[in-house]
Amino acid sequence: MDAQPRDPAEEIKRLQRCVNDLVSVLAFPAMWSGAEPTQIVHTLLDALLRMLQLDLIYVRLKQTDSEVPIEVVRFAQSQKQITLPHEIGDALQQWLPADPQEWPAQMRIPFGGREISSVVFGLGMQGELGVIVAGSERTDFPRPTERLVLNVAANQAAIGLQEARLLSEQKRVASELDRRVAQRTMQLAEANEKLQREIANRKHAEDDLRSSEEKHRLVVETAPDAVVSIDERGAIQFANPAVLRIFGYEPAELIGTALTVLMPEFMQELHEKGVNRHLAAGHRYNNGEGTELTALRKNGQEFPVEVSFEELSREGHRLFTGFIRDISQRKQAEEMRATQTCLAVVRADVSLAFGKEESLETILHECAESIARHLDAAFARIWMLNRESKILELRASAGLYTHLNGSHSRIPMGKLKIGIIAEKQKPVLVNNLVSDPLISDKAWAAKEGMVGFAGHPLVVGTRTLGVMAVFSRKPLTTGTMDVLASVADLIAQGIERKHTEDDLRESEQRLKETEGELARVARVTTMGELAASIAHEVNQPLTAVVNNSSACLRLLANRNLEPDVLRRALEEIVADGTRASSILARIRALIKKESAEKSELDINEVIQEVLVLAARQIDENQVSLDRQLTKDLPLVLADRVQLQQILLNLIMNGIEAMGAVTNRSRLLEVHSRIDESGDVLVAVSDSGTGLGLEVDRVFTPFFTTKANGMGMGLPISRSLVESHGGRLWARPNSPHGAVFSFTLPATGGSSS
Amino acid sequence: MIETQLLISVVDDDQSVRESLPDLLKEFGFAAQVFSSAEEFLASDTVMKTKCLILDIAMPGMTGPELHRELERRRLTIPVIFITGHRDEAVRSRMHEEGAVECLFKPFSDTALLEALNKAVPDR
Repeated sequence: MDAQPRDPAEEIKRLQRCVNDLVSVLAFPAMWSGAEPTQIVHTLLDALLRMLQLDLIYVRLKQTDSEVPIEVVRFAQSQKQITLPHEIGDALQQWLPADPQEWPAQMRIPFGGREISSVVFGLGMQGELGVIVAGSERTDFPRPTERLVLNVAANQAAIGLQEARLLSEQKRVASELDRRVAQRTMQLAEANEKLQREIANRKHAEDDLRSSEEKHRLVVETAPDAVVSIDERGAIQFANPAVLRIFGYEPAELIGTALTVLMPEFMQELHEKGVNRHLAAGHRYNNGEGTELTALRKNGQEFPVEVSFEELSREGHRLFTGFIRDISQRKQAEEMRATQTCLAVVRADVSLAFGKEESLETILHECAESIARHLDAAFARIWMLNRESKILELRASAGLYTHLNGSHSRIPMGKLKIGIIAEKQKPVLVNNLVSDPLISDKAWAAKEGMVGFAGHPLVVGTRTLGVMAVFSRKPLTTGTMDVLASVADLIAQGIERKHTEDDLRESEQRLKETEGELARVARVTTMGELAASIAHEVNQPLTAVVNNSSACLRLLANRNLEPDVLRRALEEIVADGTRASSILARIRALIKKESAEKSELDINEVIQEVLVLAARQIDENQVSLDRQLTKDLPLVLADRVQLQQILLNLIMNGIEAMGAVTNRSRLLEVHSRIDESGDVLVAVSDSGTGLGLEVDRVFTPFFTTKANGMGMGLPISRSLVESHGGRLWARPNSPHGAVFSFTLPATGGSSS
Repeated sequence: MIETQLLISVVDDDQSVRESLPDLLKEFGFAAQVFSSAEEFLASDTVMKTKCLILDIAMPGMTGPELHRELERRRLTIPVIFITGHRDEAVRSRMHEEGAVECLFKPFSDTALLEALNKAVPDR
């Protein structure tokens, strides 16, 4: 091994080298800045091996985060020794125990058949970082300069490693921190999100809950149906505001009261029975479908409801909740539809019946049958009022009873229900027939189970024609009344029409008779004229007879016996005699009721009769008629036919006098009054052409202003008036036409 | 014998009168012409030749008195004997007032007629 050099020059050179080495070693930290510990170790070992011409150098570094230390070994080129670092480490293990205090400062290690002088330096103040072992085959190893360099290098390495380790630790910590921050951030983000979700969910759930509760509350509070809960005893526990509208009770008013307060009497018993039955049965009772029942308002009005139930048990108690719907309107609508259908059918039947050419009895029977059938009545009847006797006579009966001669076939006005309906002209609807005071035979009603009665007057204008009624074993509704009202009108009008038709037929008959009468009157009117003209007619053949006879006598006297002339004359006498006879026969036929039959007459009545007879002439000639007939005139003693004859003659004259009038109205006035002397006076005036200077001559026979007049009407009228003790005269009318007036003595009687 | 027989015209709507009167008038020594209406007479050429008119009062169309008035209007002074089936003195007196020679009620006697004719044509 190297002996201690004595040569001073050598010594200086060695020292110089040592100084250079120290400078290099001091420069290490600059190289290692920011390097990893393994890099530091590698550069340290390479530098020391070369500087100190070592044979072996080994480093073991403790790791902070691992049990396994880092071991690095370097050999001198000359050694050619290939050994793995941990083999060197294992070999050194016996020399380097765990406690750095026990490490030897210097040792001789047998290695590959030789001994190597080795020095040990701990890394760090107490070797806590690791250990460096440097070895050389030289026996003088380590010289003091070498020891110095190694010592400084170990310190530098410790500082570098410390820094690297700190750095690494810092990095690790930083990265760990980053990682943990990131992780934490992520966790927080997740947590946050979860929280948000949860908050949202909870809020949603709360909202749901709140809204659902609100909904339920709203539904119950604002429900159109009444909601009423009762306990097992039937006491009301809850009522919603709808009970006010439907039943008329404030909800608070009902709490604690019995449910039966909401029911009519007949329902209460049914209800209690029903509830007890269900309580006894012990099973839950629900009725979601709804049952139609009758309910009772606070004001006593009954009305139809549809009720559905729900049963809930709460704390061992059973609670029934009823949902009560007011179905008045629905029922009304249903009833109205049924009523209208019924109405249409019955009206059709009634119209059809009245359209037939049948007797009123048959028609009324058909009406009663239709009413009984379609109103579902036990029987239907129609009475008609006899206006004279004031008795309602049963004219039709259909259904259970069809006879018309029973105890109610004749009911006086104002008696029993029927009579009262007729008298008051007001319909009556009764649904408690058995207890009604105006029902005469209650035993019958009870026996037959009659409940309902509806009667309607048959009225036209203000006149009662009769009464129509139905009896029913079921309660009758206002719908029944509507049908009856409508049909009553139809029947009343039908009866009226039928009566009018009968009257018309009768009046036609009367008219025919009147026309016959008129013909007779006309005949008699012209009777004077006819009497004259018939006399005229008869006088013609008589003239011929006389002429021919005279001629014959003269021929005989002159002895001028020309048989041909005589025969012709005699034949003509026979023919003319026969003709005269036949004319007289015709006259006999024409005049039958000629003798005057005087009786007390109301002159106005006779005027009206004559105006009826003249109506057509008045119409056809476009004449306006003005009648001013004084009421309550005294009666006159006269022959009706002759009076008619006089009036008709004056009226027809007046109409004819206006025939040529076109530039003014044709006005015919007929007046009746009492004159100054107390006689009855009748005046007929026209607006015709007038009489002019002939005013005094019109009563002269054969005087006429008419193209086809005989000139006999007025003379005859005058003679007739005079034969009654009256007067007939004429005067001009103002501004146009003529007035013909006649008087008749009044009798003691009066027309009123 | 009367050389020229005077012409008597008869206006009557009744055929039996028209048939019977001419025979009687011939017995009286008159010539006779018959017409069934006033219009027919007025339209004939007999009007001017007629010495006397036997005229029915009531006829369809123009009546006897109307024909009489018409003749007067024409200044034809033909004596008129009215004959009528209506026995009415008032009518007769009115006819006299109107200038008729006579007014005979049917049936009239031959002498009454002859008297009237003699009054009507006194100068024959």
